[in-house]
Amino acid sequence: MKTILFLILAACSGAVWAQANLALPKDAATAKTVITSDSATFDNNTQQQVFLGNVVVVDPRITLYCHRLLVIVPKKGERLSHLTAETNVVIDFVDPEKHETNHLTANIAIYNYTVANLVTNETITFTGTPGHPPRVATAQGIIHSEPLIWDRAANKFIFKSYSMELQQSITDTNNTSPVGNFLK
Amino acid sequence: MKPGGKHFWLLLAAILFAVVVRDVAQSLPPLGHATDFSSDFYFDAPNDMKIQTRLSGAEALPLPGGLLNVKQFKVEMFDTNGTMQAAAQAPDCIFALLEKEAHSPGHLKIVSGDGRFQVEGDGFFIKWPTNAMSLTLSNNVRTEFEHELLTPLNP
Repeated sequence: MKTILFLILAACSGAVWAQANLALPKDAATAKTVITSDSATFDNNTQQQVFLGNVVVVDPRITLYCHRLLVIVPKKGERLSHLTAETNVVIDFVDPEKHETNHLTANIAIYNYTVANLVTNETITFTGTPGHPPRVATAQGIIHSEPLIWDRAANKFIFKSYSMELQQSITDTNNTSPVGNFLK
Repeated sequence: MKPGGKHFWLLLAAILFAVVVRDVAQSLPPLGHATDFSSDFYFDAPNDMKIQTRLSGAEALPLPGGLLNVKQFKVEMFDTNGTMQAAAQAPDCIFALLEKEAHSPGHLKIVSGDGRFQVEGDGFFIKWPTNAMSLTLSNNVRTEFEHELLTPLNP
């Protein structure tokens, strides 16, 4: 019993420590995230939380839909660093600069947060299925890219092997490795 | 409880509930019948006069096979200053004490003491083998926390 209580206290300490190292959103007082799903599993042995079936995540800036959402629980003193959304992933997010809602679809989305040599890397990598690459639709147009990387630290998209559909119906295909600036 | 470690609180709440389940296994008479019971568990010294966990239920019914059916099960966990850390409620819960499992087709709701985190769902299964715990909510799961999912982009 004491061992279990110690684990709880350690968990509490970890959460508070993590908080001290997180940059809270400006509207943190009102920020709220709601996750709904058909089912969910929380396992402290594997440190995984899995939300399954009709998963919908709604927070002030992002709405995420998928079939399965995997969260790796951060270790003590660390922040959330890994999420995986699988199957029919849809994300609607607001461009903080243009205040436009963008629409992104993919088969899999993997969020990774790392800090190495004082450099923060925060990316979401989207992949599709054969013939159905990830797709982001903005006010400027639609881009299909495999993979499609959202560099959140730099606040930009990275496209590889992409095709573009502009609003003027100009199509540009078979390009490689451009860096999108839809958010900048 | 401050904001932060949002996903971690999901697990923490599950841990809290599982710990309490363990307490129930130790405190409730497995072959007896009880109504409107409430049991308090205290911190170790020097806070041994302060309540750490309070368990309550409207009724505890022994079932064949070493099972125990608890109605209106409620767990409250407190800090040493008396502040509630978390509470879990289930209108109906069946404990398999030897197997270290608890389950119910009914509702389960876990709320942090400050109300900034909560998870609820219909139908649950909790297992707490040695040094491991897991909670499965099988239907209509809703999780709320007062944070953003990811850190916001800087405009």
